[in-house]
Order: sequence, then C-alpha cells, then structure tokens
Amino acid sequence: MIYELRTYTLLPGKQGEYLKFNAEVGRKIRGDRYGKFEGGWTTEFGTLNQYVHLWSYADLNERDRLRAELQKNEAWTKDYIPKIRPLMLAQENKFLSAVTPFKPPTDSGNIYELRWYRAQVGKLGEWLNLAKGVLPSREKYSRNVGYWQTEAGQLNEAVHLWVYKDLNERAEHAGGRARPDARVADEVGPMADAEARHVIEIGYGGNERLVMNMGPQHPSAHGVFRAILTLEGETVVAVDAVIGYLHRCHEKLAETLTYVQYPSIASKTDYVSAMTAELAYVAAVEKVGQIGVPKRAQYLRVLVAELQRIASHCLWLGTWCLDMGGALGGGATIFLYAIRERELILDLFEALTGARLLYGFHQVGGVRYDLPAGWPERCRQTVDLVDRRLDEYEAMLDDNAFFRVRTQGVGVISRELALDVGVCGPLIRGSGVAYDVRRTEPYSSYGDFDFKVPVETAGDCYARYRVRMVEFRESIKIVRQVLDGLPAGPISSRPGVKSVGQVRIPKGEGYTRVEGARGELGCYVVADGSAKPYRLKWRGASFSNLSILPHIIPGHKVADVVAIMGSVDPVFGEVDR
Amino acid sequence: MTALTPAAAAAQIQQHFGVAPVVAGGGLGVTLPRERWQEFARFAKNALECRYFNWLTAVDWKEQGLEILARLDNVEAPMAVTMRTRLEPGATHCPTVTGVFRGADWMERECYDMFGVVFDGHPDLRRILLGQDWEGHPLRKDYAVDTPQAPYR
Amino acid sequence: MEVKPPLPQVPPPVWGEFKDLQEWEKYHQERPTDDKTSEALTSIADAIQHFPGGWIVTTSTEKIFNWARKSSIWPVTFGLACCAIEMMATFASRFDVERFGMVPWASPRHSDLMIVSGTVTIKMAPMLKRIYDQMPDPKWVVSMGSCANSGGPFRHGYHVVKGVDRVVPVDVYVPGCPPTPDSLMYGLLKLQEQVAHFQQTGTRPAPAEPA
Repeated sequence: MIYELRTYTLLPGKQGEYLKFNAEVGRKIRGDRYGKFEGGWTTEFGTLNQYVHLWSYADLNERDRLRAELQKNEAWTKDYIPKIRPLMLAQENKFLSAVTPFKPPTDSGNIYELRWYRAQVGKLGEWLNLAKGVLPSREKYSRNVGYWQTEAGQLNEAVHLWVYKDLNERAEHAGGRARPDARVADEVGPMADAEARHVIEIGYGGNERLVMNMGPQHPSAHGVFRAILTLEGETVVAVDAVIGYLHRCHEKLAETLTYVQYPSIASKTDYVSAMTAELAYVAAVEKVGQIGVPKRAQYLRVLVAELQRIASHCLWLGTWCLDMGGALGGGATIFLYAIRERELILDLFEALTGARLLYGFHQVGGVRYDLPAGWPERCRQTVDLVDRRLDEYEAMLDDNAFFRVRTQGVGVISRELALDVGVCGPLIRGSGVAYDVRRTEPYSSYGDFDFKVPVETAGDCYARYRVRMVEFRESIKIVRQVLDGLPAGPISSRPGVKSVGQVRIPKGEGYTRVEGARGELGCYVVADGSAKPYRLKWRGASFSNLSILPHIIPGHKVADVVAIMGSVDPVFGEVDR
Repeated sequence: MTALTPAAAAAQIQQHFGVAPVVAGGGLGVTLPRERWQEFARFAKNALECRYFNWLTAVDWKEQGLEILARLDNVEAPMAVTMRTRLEPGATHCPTVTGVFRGADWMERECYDMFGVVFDGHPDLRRILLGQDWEGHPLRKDYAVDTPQAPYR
Repeated sequence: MEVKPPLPQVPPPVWGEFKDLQEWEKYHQERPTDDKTSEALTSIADAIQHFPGGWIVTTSTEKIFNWARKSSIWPVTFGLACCAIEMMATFASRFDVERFGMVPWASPRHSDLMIVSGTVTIKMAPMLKRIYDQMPDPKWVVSMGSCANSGGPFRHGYHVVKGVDRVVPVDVYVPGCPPTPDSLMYGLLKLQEQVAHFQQTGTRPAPAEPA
C-alpha cells in the first residue's frame, strides 16, 4: 500500500472557488476509480490557502497505470484541469508508506494536525520502532489517524496525522509535557528538523526562550500598553497583551453623570479623535430618546468628524513613521511634518470650540457652537494645503524601499480572521472587507455626500497605510462638499440647555455606531427614564483592533511588533475606557 | 448570492429556535435560553452569515439577574443580530462563544472582569482591565463608583 | 452613620509575580559602600564649605551646576492619556521646547524630568513609581493636567488615583484638561526657575522598603 499526500497552494481568495469546483466537478469525475480518496483538508495555521489531500494505491505500478487512465478521461482533461489551473500557485506531493494502519475517525467537525519530523540520517528506523512502542500509550491522550514514513523525495521523515475535537482539546494535551510516559524525542537524540503544518505549535522550540516585557512605558507603545513577548532568538513566539493601565471607569461614571454632562467626558475615550467619540454618545442618546437633529447640525457634525479624521490620521502617520525609526530618513521627519499639518486643523477647532484636543462640541439634539465668521474660507485653505502636503508624504513613502520592506507582508490579517475577531476601520478595509459604517448605516446625513470607501486586499501594514492615505483624501472631499452645501437654520433642537438634569430620556435601549478614525465606535445605552443612563457600553474600535495582536504577532521579529502596533493605531483611552 | 433580509432571517430563527425575534430596522433582537447560547451563535455564523463579531457585554438588572448581550453583524447584507440571554438572579455562569468567534476572547474577559460572569469553557478567563488582585466587579449595581482601593486612594 | 474601618496599608502586589525583579531592584537601590571617589569628593566639599569663607566657592559652583541642569532638562517620554498628545505637540514642530534644551528621552535612566501627562490609575501607579525610582538624582516631576493634579473629571472613579502627588513628589502642577502646549511650556519655564535655585541638601533617601 502506498499513500500519496498532495499539497496544493491556492491563490489567496480562490480557495472557496477551488473547493467548490473540486467537490462539484472533480470528485464526480474521479470517484475512487483512479485511486482511493482518503481525505481532503484545508490549512488553518501556518501557510494558508492550501488544500491537502491523501490518496492510496496498491503500489506504485498501480498508481502509474491509474494516472495514465485518468489522462485519457476527456472529462478530466477538458472540463476540470483547465478550470483549476489558474487558481493554483504551487503543487507538491509526497509518497508515504504506512507505519501503522490508517484509521480515519468516524465523527466529523474535527481539527487535524499534520506533523512531520525529519530524523538524522540512519536514525529513522530507531525512531519508528520507539514510536510504534509508544503509540498505544500516546493514544490515550489524542487520537492518531495515520503514521507514515516518506518513500520518495525528502527521505528520513516521519509523517503523522492527529485528530482533535477542537483546539482546546489539543491545548490540554499539547507537546509531550503532559505525558511523560509517551515521549519519544528524549531517547533518539536531537531530530534534524520538525515541522507541524496544520497547527504551528506556539511554545515549541527547546530551551532558548526569553520572556521580554515591552511597556507600559515604551516610546512606541502609543500609550500605556504592555506586551509580554516570548522570544526565540529574535522571533516572537507568543504574546500576552496586558491592557487596563488607563481604565478610567468610563462606563461606571456614565451611570452617575447626566446626558448633559457626559459628552465632554465621552470625548476622553478616543481622545485623538474626540469629535467622533462625542458623536457616538450623543447619537446613541438621540436614538433612544428619539430626538431630532436639525439639518445644519448634522452637516456640522459631519464637517468636524471629517476634519478630526484628517487630524487623527496625521498623528497616526507621524507616530508610526517615528516608531519605525531611522529607516525613513531620520525617523522624526514625517512626524514633524504631520504634526505641522495637524496643528492647522487644531487651529480650526480652536477657533470653533475654544479647545484644541477635547472639545465638548456636541450636545444631545445638535451642536453647541456655530461657525464663526471667516471660518469656512480658512477651512478651505487649510484642507487645500493638507491636500498638497499629502502628495509630498506619498512621494516620500510610497516608493521608499525601506518603508516597503518594513510594511509589506508584515502583520497580515486574513479576511476571515478580521471578521472573526471583529476588527474595524482601516484594518478590516485593508483586509478586503468593504465595511464602513458611513456607508453601511449612514448617520448624520452621510448619505448626502459622495465619497468612496477604500478597500485593499493584501491585509498587511502597507495595505492599511494605503487605506488611510485614501481616507485622508476622501475626508477632504467630504469637507469641501459640506462647506458647499451647508444649509441655514438652527444648530440644535434643544437650544439653551442650562441645567445638567434637563435632558431626560424615556425608558428604552439602543445601539448606535459611528465611523471614528479607528473604525466602528459605538455606544449601547440603556435608559430608565431619568436624566442618567442606566447602563452605557462603549464599543471601542481600538479594543477590538488591539485584540488582533495575539493572532498576528507570533512569527514576526521584534522590530515588526512596533510596525504592527503602529499600523493598528490604538488609542488607549478607548481600549481601556 | 442574494443577501439575506432581516425578515427572512427572523423566519429562520423562528423555525429553528422557536422564539420570535424583535425586528427593528436592520437589527434583530433574539432572547434565548442559556443552554442554546452557543448553538445560536454557531447558527448565526453559518446560516445567517453573521460572521462579524461586534461586541459582547452584560447588563446588571439588580434582583432580576444579569443579562448577557452579544451583537453579530452580517457585513454583506447589512443585517445585525443582537443575541441576549438572562441569567437567573445570583447565577454567574454562561457558556462561552470563544469556540465560534475568536473575537469573543477579550470581550468575555472584560465581561468577567466587570460583572463577574464566568464563561464556562473560556480558554483563559482572567481579569483584563483591572489588576489580577482586584476585589469585586465594578459594573455591578451594588459596587459604588468611588469604592476606595488601598493603597492609592 | 456607618464608620468605615481604616484601609489596610498593603503594598500593591502588582509586581508580585516578578520576585526576581524585586530582588534585583532591592540590590540596586542600596547605596554602594565602597565608593572611595564620591566619599573623597564629599569630604573635600565639606572641608571647603566649613573653611572660613569657603561657602563662596561652593555656592558659586552650585550656580554653574544649576545653570547646566536647567538648560538641559531631559524629560522621559512617558505618555499616559489625552495630555500625552498635547505633550507630543509641545515637543513637535510648532511649539518645539527643544530650544530650551529639553530633549524627550526614551530611557528613565538618562532623564531628569518626568511629565506625568494624564490619568494615573491604580494599575499604573506602581509602574509610575518604578520609573520615578529608576531616574537618577536630582530629578523633578511636572504634573500635567487635571487628572494628574487631582483626578480631574475621573476623580470619583474606583480605578483612578486622586492625584499623582499621592505616588511621587511633584514640583510643578499645570492645570487644564488638557493643558495647551502654551500652559505646559509656562510650567516648564517655571520648573527651570526652580532648578536654578536648586540646592542639594544631601542625598535623597533610598525608597522605603514596603512594610
């Protein structure tokens, strides 16, 4: 009996198409007439977008005969092969002979782990003898499906396939640590090489491990963030993210402050883009209380939100490039340039609200201040200037070889992972999902404006950079449209709110979200009829975005951690709330 | 593939779970018994294609017990499902959905930290925002906002 | 009226799991006993000061030292919250406090000044204290913003330290929420005035061993 293990690497994004076509067309043509199909799997860890399948033949001569027959089958060569070729990147196969009988599990919905160990020359026999002896006691802990040795190509390899109910079950029996009675590795000297394809075992790798603490005082942590990194040499194998150093009891304080008082505290959640944070709160309260907002106020909200996005992205670009350091021509160059532009936007805000960072501009029912005289012209000049300066940034960064090396292919978030973890904003748009609250669920008259939602498919740091650079321009476009079409009228439906308890909201609950500079920022409000909410939940964009880190950092070098952190752009007021 | 409408999704939920969802705009609110919490999460992910895990939290209704809420979004439709379950007064155990959505990891840790809800089956249920030695769960209604903490008061 | 029992004064066991680090720190906080050079310098300075008329020499050298100190205050880059953004703006293009000789430095071991920019939480306070302890003498602290001054808008929160002066001694308080870069600059200039009059009255005692 000979087994053939074929691994097809598919083009990213084409896996679904391939699998569908394979199941509907390929399997029907082929059946078990040309070799027995033992199983097919897709990879979940390690190299993604792979389809692994296992065939068995009586022997190699039989295989040659069946393959020749298959080539004669017209349905196979005409209908199937030409269709799947363009979906594939690479093919690879291995010939294996069974060490123990193949025993596929009878239940479904499992996760499989395929591991191969390459023994030193001449040591494989010894290894296999030991493995055979140990397998019965090893199988008490996890179920073995097959145990093979390689017969062609790379020799001296032991390939084995294990099945688990889920990753939790696997974690319980991880490595050999939990079962001293079932270890082989200690007896047969060091292995030459070991690889687990379907599950990269984080935490494996001998003794050369170092635990490094990064933060909470770290210049490139963007705030008070502590990452406990486990390193193997220069590579991060595990990360424990510790947050909460800026937990300021926002949700509890919201229960003690009235609807009039809280918006100015709300701006301290996402303090780099305070305008949208305030907007999220007042919009949620208005939704629960069914309070209308005049058209002019809605336009003013859009205006400040987009200006804020520009200012926030300026800070992101500056600090990110500063963190990535000297690679970008002195490190601080872009930082100083970007802050220079940000100051111009802050000047506009200062003229409008009197504050530079935390504004208290929004109130339930509208906004607090109208535009002062001469402000629209100044605003136009500023965004024109920023527009020109963006070209300069892109000229500096886009084709900068160092910048590309630091960002391309670093911190890749797949589309599935992005959805599963719930990242938002530029992160999810950089992973190929066109998800923007301004477009999905238009609020505050966003439907009136013409803008596009940038989407990149690569999912790496560079894709997120491109998304944000396009967002800059789209925000400028929206600002110009608002200034062109700003309607006259009142700026608040509840003007002259003087006492702090004046706004009362009837019993009810609701969730409202806005697209902040970092993504979906939302408020879930439960009102009980008084002047204060009964419960307020902040859905912080950065909290969800940051929770992607344990999934993407392992496998990268320490220096890349900084690049990934910067591209996530967390604001810790919003993470810890 | 045609996008799923909220009404069609509501009918599917009614058929599989026997509860009538509250439809408001593009959002559905489904109240479930605790035993079917995981099952519904899996159903929403696979059948309703709500693959985007938005948030999970709890509300303390004092003597009426805790309520757990989670919002899942279908980013193509667009449609959202808010699933909720009520724990009996004094009860603090709820099944985890970390096996369905990886994003539930930190959200459930935060919920445990703030409300003391123990998510059975969570791989790493530790406090996330407060220190590991913190006493009490601050977002419970019986926890005063200015409860002093030694030594920095 | 309910009488609350006094709170037990226990050290925060946040770093409890890092026993080796605590040992290390204890070892390094002990003053070296066999430092012959500084002993010699101290005795020379004492001798000069106690010599009739010798104080003229020590006070004028002190002036020179203070001039040097105040002209090159290096703040440690230590941002906590919203105020950190304004602090960054203060160090960046428009306000540029580098012209006063202030270079933001990433390592507390080479810094003279800590700008506490933002809310200090109970989880952060031990870390803040540790960074302060890591800075060499003489060192100064600027408390920036309402939160660091008194807890500010978050004063009533359960997780907020009501003023950084409960953790480390503060030299200059800058009010505002957040203070504008201009106010912070004013505060820093006030600090320079203080530094100009700085007199060394002996070494600062080593941090007390938590009981």
